[in-house]
Amino acid sequence: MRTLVFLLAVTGAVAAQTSDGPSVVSIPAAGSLYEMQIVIRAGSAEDPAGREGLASLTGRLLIEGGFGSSANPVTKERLAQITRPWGAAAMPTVTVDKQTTTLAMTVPRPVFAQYVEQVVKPMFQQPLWLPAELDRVRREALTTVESRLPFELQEELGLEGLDNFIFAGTPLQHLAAGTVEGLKAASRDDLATFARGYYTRDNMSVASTISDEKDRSLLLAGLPAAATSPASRRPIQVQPVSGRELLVVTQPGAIASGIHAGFPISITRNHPDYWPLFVGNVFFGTHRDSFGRLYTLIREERGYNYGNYSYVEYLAGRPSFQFPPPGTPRTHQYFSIWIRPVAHQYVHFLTKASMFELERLLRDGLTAREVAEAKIKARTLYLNYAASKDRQLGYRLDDLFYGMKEPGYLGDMLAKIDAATPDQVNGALRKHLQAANMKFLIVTHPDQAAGLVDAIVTGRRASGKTMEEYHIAEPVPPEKRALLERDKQWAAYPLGIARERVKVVKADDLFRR
Amino acid sequence: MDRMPEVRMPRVHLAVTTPLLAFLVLACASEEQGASERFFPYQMHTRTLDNGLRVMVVPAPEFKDMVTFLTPVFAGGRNETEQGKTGLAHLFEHVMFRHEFGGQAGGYDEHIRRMGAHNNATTSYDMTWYYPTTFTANLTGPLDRPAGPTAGLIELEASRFIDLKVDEKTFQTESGAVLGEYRRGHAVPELRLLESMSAAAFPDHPYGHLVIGLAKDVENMPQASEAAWAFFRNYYAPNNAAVIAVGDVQPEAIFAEVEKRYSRWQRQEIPRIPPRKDPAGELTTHVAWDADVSPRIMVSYHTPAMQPGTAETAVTMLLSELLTSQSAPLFQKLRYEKQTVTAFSDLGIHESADPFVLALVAELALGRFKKDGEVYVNDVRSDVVAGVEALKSFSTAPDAAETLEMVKSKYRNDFLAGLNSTLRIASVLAQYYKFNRDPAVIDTLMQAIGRVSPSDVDAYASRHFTAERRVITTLWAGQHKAGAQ
Repeated sequence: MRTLVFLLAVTGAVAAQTSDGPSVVSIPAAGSLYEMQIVIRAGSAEDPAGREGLASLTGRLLIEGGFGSSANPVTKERLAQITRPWGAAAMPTVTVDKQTTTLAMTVPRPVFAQYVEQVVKPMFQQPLWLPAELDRVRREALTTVESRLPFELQEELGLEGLDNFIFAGTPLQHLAAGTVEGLKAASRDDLATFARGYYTRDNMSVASTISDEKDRSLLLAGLPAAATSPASRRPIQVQPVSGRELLVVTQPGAIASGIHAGFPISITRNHPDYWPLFVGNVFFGTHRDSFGRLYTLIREERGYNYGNYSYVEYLAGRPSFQFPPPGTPRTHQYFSIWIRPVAHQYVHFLTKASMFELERLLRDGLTAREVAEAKIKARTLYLNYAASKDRQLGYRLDDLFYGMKEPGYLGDMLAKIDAATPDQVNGALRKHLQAANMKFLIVTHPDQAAGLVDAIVTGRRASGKTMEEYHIAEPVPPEKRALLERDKQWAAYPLGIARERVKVVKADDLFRR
Repeated sequence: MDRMPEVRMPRVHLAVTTPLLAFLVLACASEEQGASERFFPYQMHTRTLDNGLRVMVVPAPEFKDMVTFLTPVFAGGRNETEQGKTGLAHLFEHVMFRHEFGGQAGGYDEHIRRMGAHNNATTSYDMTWYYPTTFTANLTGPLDRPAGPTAGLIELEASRFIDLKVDEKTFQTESGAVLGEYRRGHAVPELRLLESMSAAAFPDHPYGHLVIGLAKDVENMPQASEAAWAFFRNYYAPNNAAVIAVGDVQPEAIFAEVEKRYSRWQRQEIPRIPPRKDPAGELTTHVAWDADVSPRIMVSYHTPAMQPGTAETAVTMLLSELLTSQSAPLFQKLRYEKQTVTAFSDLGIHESADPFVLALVAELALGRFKKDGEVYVNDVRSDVVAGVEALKSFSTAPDAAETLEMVKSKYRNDFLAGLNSTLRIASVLAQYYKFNRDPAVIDTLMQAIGRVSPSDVDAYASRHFTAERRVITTLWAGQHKAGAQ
């Protein structure tokens, strides 16, 4: 049987804006499967006040909430049945972040027309928002924000908590998954209204491995019509951080304390300083890698915890993802540091250490040799960022979000890294990063909070491990002397956080409204 | 370090079965059929060196500038035949990263670091595979780097496979790392079930121990360097390995560099592993657990060795879909209708060079177990046994042909979807190539799957899913009597 078509791989992507709406990117690939991602440019930032979680519920219900004729709906069970012979990836998945909703699906080419007719088209054009499914999905979402995140997941709690804290006072300030009260309040009508306003072809981008012009048109014909009265996006005015402030989040199960710090930065991927800043950050704190300086100092040389990293943009999927997934682009980004959980008694000391090291990075900069090494490491990350077709499609969609032209983020990554000079790297670090204005978030045990706050605002009790704990014996060997010297500098570093700029909240209050 | 040597873990949760299933599945096609019925979506270029080393190059230019250079060695836990010396295949996987390239301690790792590559390896029962991914330009050196001239990747890989040099201390260090890995795995109930079942089911074959090795052998590893070297000398040979390059590559350039670097590798006689004796009756084993975990029951059946192109092998490959996928009748009965189990999956280890087992694991509800004890366990056991053995009359269901076509279609599409990165393409190829060393193996396997009929399923189940070939293993905490009946 020769029903399967074998394409010769063609490299290079084609981007086009169709006359009536969606931006379309194609990266044809070998094989008989079409991979597709559809991005809707709306996420939790468009949740109306009091309906936090609406974007997330709408995204999930689009797939699981039934569609087609109400007399004979395609329920989630029937959808599983229809798509089964086409492979597990033919079942659409959805990811809702703060500013985007992304659908992904992989379909065998021979059944593509059927897929559009039976799945894509009715899903977008005749959604049913079945009440029983809304109840179920809402219950699951509530479990996440009411108990799982606050009580079971310490690292996620801190990471998502900081992401919200940075954007306080803006539509980006709540979890993409929603708040307890928002999720409870969202009605079926709210979902339908949200979809009518935002799930429109002029608000979508499509990336796929579809090579055939006819099939591409078929897919576009399956997307919903343009909005008659398109919903507007809510404006985002991020307030700059002034001085240093601290949010302590108490979590009953916390057997150690996680440290997070950050502040908004004014650049995103489309800024000329992005790649030099990226290289500088690789040197300072590559995510989930032993290369970075923070990791080396705190974990490798001193053994305080599992890892220590820094970021120049939001990285979804932490702690488990080792590399940033595409699909969560943001118009506003921030720099952040993450010190993974450490024994409670070292929190104060290591918070100081992180700021001392950030200041030292900005003051001393990187040597030419350090920049060269960081560039090799940064290049190596490309091997993972571009490792699979779905990642490549995702990055092209991110490019459209950021208004980046060909060759785009991945296409340009190696050349831009190669081109970054030591002056540019140090210049970008100094221009965009600083340590004076910073939001700190510490997740700790309720019993620790008062003592920790007291120590931080008074500057007392900031000590690291003893010589014995470091397994250093007298006479101190020369290579350990520098370590102990640096520890003294860390301990003496003034955090300068005033008591009135400290707030203590319970984990389960963080996502209530 | 990025590198985290690991033992291949059985898959446990259903949520992750699909990609892994695709990763684990492939088959082989004969040369003449290969020309007319291609399933594998890429072109393959092959060359065999005089010493027997097969080189397979798969250009996939959509992965621009990158390449995975994978070396499978066809030896793993299955080749550990010496008493008291289990786990050496995996120990060697660790040791291979410590090669003193250029006469320098840590030289290999240092060159990899300077070059810029992601580098890892995995050990399974039948194979140990090494898979650096780097830029195509790094394949051939010398490379100009800030830290000094750096060897190309093919030279580095050839060097560690042909001239491996490590000191005794390295064995001690890596033995410690392996012991750490063993301890981590020790807390996984599924691994302990597998360990208990394997020991009973394979008293005379190395499948009787897990790839990580037996506890006392892992503890004694620091003293096992001589045996480890013997393992290396026995199995690390060009006629017992292959190299597979997948990515943005030119086949001729790779052939030339491989020929230059690998030709001096000496061919040798590879020891043969006798297959296990036929099972002689149902076995029952029990694992007493020390914490209050959910009880588990594992039902295993002896399965045949993989022989790509045969109907038996094709049915073996479809078993997960027929029994433990969310649409399988047995899965639906346990999870949805009776709701007697909270998880049900197979451990995905039945695709093996020698006859092995299909192992199905059900996780039970702790509360109900505390109330009903073994009555509850026996109920699940009966359902699993009945569900598996029902395949003997698979063809009698009115929609059998239709169901089978659906299962085959899903299988093929999942398989294709799994070929989504240079590493996955190279790994999948190696996983199936190992059975009969045929580069067209994937086409062969898929053609055989295409031919499977409902009565082939009946015949397979009648031969293999019998009481004599069954092993029942249970696990729970506390005082309940061992051994569900």
